[in-house]
Amino acid sequence: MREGREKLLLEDSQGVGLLVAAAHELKTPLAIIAQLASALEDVETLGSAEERYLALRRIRLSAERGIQLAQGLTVGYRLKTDQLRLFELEPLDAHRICQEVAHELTPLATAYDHTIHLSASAHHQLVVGNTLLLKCVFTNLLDNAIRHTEGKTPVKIQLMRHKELVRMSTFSEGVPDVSRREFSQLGQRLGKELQPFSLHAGGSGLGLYIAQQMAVAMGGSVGVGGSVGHKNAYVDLLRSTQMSLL
Amino acid sequence: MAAIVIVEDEPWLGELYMHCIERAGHSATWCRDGYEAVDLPDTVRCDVLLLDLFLPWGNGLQLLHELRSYEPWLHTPVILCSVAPPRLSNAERAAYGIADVVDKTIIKPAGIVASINRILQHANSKN
Repeated sequence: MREGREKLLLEDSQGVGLLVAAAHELKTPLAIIAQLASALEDVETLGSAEERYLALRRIRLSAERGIQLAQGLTVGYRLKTDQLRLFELEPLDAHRICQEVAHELTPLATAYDHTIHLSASAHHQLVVGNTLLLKCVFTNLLDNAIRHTEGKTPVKIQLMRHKELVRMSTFSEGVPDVSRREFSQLGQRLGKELQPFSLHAGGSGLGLYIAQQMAVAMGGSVGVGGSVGHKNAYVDLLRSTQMSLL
Repeated sequence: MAAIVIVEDEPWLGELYMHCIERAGHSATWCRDGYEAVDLPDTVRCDVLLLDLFLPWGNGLQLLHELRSYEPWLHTPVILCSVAPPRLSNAERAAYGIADVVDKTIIKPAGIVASINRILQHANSKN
């Protein structure tokens, strides 16, 4: 009885931690929207038509970032509450998913002065997944790569087959958001209230944490790699030939 | 003309602050993270530092400790800028040399410029 209650309290405290992290993450796009909108109201601050158009485009892209995070939280909640039946698994063409996500995020990449390069795949890479979940996961990885890439360097997408897995990776220049060790501790870290004086990453890592939960629901996993200057994040999924294992 | 240094990892906010500060007649230098910022004291004058709290690989206060070790930046007034501004006592503010704390979710770019001008005015009146 006591053990059960302690478990409940732990889950509850993690829920509160996630809620705080979500609120924190949402504040950034909202702050960008509010500040750019405020600058737009003042004709003297952003006077030229070009400046005003740029500000409007950034407001729209920041709003989309907030919506994407909110959608991720909703899907994450459904996974937590055992609504897995909503996310049926089927064979998916990983290359096509990469293409679609790259296409959807091209306006964002352009706004950040980057290009997206997708390594051509000689043949279709069929993986076990759910279209909505996989697009959410890969959108998160690519979005992170685009926003935190330095200079005007391209963001690369690579598909690689390794034994029974297919790896969908993003590669970019810049400081990795989280190290491998930090990534492995994300769940525990998000379970605690954010402490501004001790938190030392740009974000809370919530997006990656949700992406990892979605990948697990598809029988896969998310990982990070790279070193200072070179960022790499990936999702590993089972090849469709392994579907019977799930 | 005062020299303002901005440390802000969100490029769209960094650009906006730089634009507004330059329009107000000051010079502005913007860097995106602590790695770039620690190189600045050797080459850049700083009359006011606009410092984001959450930065990739190190928070703003850790960076501030580092920057304070450079003599010319030892007493540079700091505006701490965050979406989750910490509640600091006057003693804590004084210890870190924080002249103002602004909440990015409610402050307007014009408010940041006003804060900079207020701090510069206060510094001038002391000299």
